[in-house]
Amino acid sequence: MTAANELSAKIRDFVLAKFPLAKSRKIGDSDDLLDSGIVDSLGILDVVAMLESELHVTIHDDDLVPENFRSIQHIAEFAAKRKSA
Amino acid sequence: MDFLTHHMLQSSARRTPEKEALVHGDERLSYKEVAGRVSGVATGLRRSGVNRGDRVGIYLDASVPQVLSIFGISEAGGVFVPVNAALFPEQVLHIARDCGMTALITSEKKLEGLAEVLPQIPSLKFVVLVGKTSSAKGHASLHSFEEFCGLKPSGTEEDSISKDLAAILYTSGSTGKPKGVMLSHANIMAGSSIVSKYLGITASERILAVLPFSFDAGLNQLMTAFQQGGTCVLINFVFAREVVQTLIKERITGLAGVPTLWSLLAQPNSTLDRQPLPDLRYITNTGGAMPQAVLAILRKTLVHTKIVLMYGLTEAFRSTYLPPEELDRRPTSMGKAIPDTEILVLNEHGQRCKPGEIGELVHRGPTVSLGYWGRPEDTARALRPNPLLPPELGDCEKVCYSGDLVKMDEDGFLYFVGRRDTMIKSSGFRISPTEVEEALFSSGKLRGAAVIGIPDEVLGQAIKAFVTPKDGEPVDTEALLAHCGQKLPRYMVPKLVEVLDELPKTSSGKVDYPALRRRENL
Repeated sequence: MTAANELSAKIRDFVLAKFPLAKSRKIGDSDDLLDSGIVDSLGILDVVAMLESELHVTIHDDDLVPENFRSIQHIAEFAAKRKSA
Repeated sequence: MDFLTHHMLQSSARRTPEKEALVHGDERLSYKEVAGRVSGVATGLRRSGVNRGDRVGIYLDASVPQVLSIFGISEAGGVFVPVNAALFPEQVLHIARDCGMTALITSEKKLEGLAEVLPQIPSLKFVVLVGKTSSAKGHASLHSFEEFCGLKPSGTEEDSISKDLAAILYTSGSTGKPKGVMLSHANIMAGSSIVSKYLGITASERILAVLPFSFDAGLNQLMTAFQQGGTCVLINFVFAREVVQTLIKERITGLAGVPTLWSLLAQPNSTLDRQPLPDLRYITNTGGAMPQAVLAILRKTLVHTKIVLMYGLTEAFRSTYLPPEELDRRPTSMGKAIPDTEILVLNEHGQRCKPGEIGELVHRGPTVSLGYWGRPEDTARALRPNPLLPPELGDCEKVCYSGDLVKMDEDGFLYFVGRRDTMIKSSGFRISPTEVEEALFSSGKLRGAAVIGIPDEVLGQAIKAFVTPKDGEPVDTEALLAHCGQKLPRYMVPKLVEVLDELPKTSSGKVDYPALRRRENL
């Protein structure tokens, strides 16, 4: 498994475990998490905490925008970008 | 004379028809437009069979149709039942069955999730769908919300009076499933007038409504704005900075929130401190005490803004507020009674407590609700005759026993001490421990389960569950929480689980909640 795939897999596992609606609606990597109400403002805090503590991604104040968190794929791409920066 | 909820809208529409009433994203509606569509909705509802006093549910995200529905149902003579959009179909089913819902206004997307539960609502005559109308066509029990909006007023004479039931707001207590608090038109209008008075709300106000309308303080935002002829701005947000951007873009003057919102806004990533907000005249907090650290940040950041700490319970709509000039002297106080309201602190014998003595907060005034829908016993417990009235007056007045323990200082300011029962308050929501415990039990893996609220910086209280395994089998706490997540909305899912060999019990064999709290040093 490539590093990028591994990152995606970890984020996917976390989202599916933490947000039951994601699991019951069988959310795919590119499906929307925000407008659908699956991840709310408090849920984002959980995602951020996981990225920082488990994946060691440093998140800046300006990173907390919908574009970085819209889907599992968006989160993974954002995390990969931050890790390589 | 305005005496029904929708009269407030109609009066503002007559006074200032072109004034901006409602904003959501790119949608901007004047009072004339809102009033016109509301009349259409009322006509549609009546033609479809809504009669005076019928309950009509609104299960929608914050949106223009949500607001039009509230006033449309009122104008049709019905009772509006706003359902929190975060609830799951099972909880929607409970509400719909409990209040005997005649009709439900929802969206195409939400209807998909409801497909299974709708047939289990025997009282439901029809559904009104917002958005795509294709599926509404040709289906006898489905109507198009947009078509309703375009209908001409029917000119039916109004027969409701201000004492009639206007709304039912569902909220939790310490046990069982959510109960419906009944508000009359008079309650809602008194709440708007009173809050407008002490916050000084006028037609120039631009209120950002972030709290759901299923929550009394949220509904009050919309009502005060429309009563005073101001502007109500709606928002769906995930990131705190989206709130900040809307404050700036819409030149918001008033914002009401719960502690969770302020905790999110106080974090640097919200960007609240990056630019001044000269238009923001006031913010109000309700739904739990604002953490002192958060309050300090907001006071430093929002230098031009009055910070008003408030307290209310759905059963009495709104109760107390702390005037901003008292914030320095009494930052932990809930304040004093709102206008035209008296707050009593009573001991177990129904007598007034002395300053510093702990007693139950009892509310008297025009916002005392009509009680709980279909639950006379619960109503009799919460709403009782005023024990301080002279006997000659008899039982002419009902006061609201809050279940909140408070004390009053020498100057009459109130301080929250705790709950009389086990009810939990998290993120502004009232949560019944038994509802969470039932969800835990339904996993089939437990012999015992008890939940309590523990302090949480962001949520106010977070839920901690204590569980005992069935047949000594190890409990997979992750799986248990995942199970709860399937059954309950996120705010009701415990944050922590501790496995115990036995739950502490009282001598009568019930779970000893105080003992569990002592374990947590509470």
